[in-house]
Amino acid sequence: MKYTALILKNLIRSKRRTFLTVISIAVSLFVFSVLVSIPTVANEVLGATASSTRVATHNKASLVYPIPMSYKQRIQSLPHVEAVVAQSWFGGIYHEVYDQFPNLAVDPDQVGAMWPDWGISKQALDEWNKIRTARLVAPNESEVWGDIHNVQDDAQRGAYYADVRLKLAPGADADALIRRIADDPRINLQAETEAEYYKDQSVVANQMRVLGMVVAIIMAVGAIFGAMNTMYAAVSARTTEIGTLRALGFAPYAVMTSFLLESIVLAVVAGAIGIILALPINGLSTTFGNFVTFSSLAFSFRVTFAIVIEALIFAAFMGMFGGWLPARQAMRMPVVDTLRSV
Amino acid sequence: MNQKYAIEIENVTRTYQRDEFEVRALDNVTIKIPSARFVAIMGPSGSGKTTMLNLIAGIDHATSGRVAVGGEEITEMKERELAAWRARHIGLVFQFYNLIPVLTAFENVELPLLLTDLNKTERREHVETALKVVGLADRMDHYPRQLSGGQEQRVAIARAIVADPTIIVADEPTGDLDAKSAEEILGLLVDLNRQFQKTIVMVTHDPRAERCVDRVYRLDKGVLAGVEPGKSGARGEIAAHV
Repeated sequence: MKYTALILKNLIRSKRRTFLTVISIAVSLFVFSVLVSIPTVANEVLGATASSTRVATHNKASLVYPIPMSYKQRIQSLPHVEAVVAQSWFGGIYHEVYDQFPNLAVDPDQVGAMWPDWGISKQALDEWNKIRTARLVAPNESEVWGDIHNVQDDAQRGAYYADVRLKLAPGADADALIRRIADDPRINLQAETEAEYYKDQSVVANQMRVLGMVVAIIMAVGAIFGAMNTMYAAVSARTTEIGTLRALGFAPYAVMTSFLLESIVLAVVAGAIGIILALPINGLSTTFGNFVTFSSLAFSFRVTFAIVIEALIFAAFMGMFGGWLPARQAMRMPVVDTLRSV
Repeated sequence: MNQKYAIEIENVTRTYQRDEFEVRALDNVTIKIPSARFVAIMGPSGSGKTTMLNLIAGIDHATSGRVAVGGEEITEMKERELAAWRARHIGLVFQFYNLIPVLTAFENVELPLLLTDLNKTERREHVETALKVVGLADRMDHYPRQLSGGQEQRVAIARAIVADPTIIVADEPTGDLDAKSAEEILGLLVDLNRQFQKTIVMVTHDPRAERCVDRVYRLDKGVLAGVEPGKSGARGEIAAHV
């Protein structure tokens, strides 16, 4: 590129101004990269445990309303149902009060048939049947199980469950069963496949993504105005140069393009710095209790290649928006007036 | 238009609006400058010299009248067309050099060539030749802040000639220089005119300029007040630039 030297040298001309603009853009891109990396992992974790042959049912009125115990038998009598497990969740603490760790009371007898894809060994299932208390640990999530019949009485939950899960036989039509449950006037239940259920209920992850994007956009708007201010100052300081270039024969659009490219390069470099600052969180683990699977989810931040590209493109757009008006001003300056201002 | 003349200005008027006042910078001026001549446009402040130069260089538009440079009428050209035309035909020298401070002497001289189809090697050859002509071949990697005023103006002249323009237009080229440097610059311009047959139009207050040029056009209050032959027979007194 013939104009590369001019663009790059102009970028480092006012080091302090460039540095401050780079910092503001880098910070907003750092925040963007961190926040966007969270829901990606959370969604993947939730999706990994879901199945389309398991159906989750809950009270049609709301998730928080319980289901009468009698509904379990009605669900068991439905065609193509291989296993049925009723569940209730209870609060729990791991060591400290602030470390909430949800616990599940489950129907003990059909646990193995309900979740064969979870890889619970036969030995573990046999021990579960004996002691009726278990701790389920997976790479990304953990649960504590208890026997619903014992816990229910102790917690005085009466004759109600939080939800009932059922597993369909292979090849069964899940949609037909879901419609049948919804249409049955005797049971006031809403049913959906586990995969759909988790997707609908992953409110936390979606809200986090929306919140993250809102915060990142607000910060980006601030950074865009910072970049715009920097470029306006550059145009003002280089009025005579602009006039000289125009007088030498550089077309108005060439002048505009050079300023715009300068702004974009500035923003992309700053964006790259922001991403580099975000990389140390890569692999950093944290947990949060989620009330979708009623388990404690552990996951690691992952700044993926897609997020890096997304962030760089975002940075380029920031540079373009920030540099557009100043570049346009540079283009429209009358040559005679610019040469007069010495 | 007759190509015997490098520049033809016919009945040109240029007015500006300054708040409620209309300023008439040039009033029905007609000038014809022959090719390969070194001429000066002189006059008191506000006489319209720079306006005349800007019209010749295609930087400004006449309010009325016709302007033709190098046989090409530029009066009705649009801005983008004029920019391309300037790149091909006009070499500009400014009073305060107007070099880009972040570029080296080489890069400053190379600027007009970026608008051509020359490749990097060809551009380098042209730049080195231009800097050699002005006697600064050994300073091509210096930045303007590392050069004296006279040297900066030489670089500016090199930039003006590097693309082999039809006309060189100089606005007070010695205005910011000491006497010795001014003499050197004037000598350089004389050499460009004599050796390379360049048409040079110079706006100046410098009385020494009259000894270098072939003709002097005097403006006063926007009107052509007179045309005199220069005293270029005294050119031998101008110090050599190398």
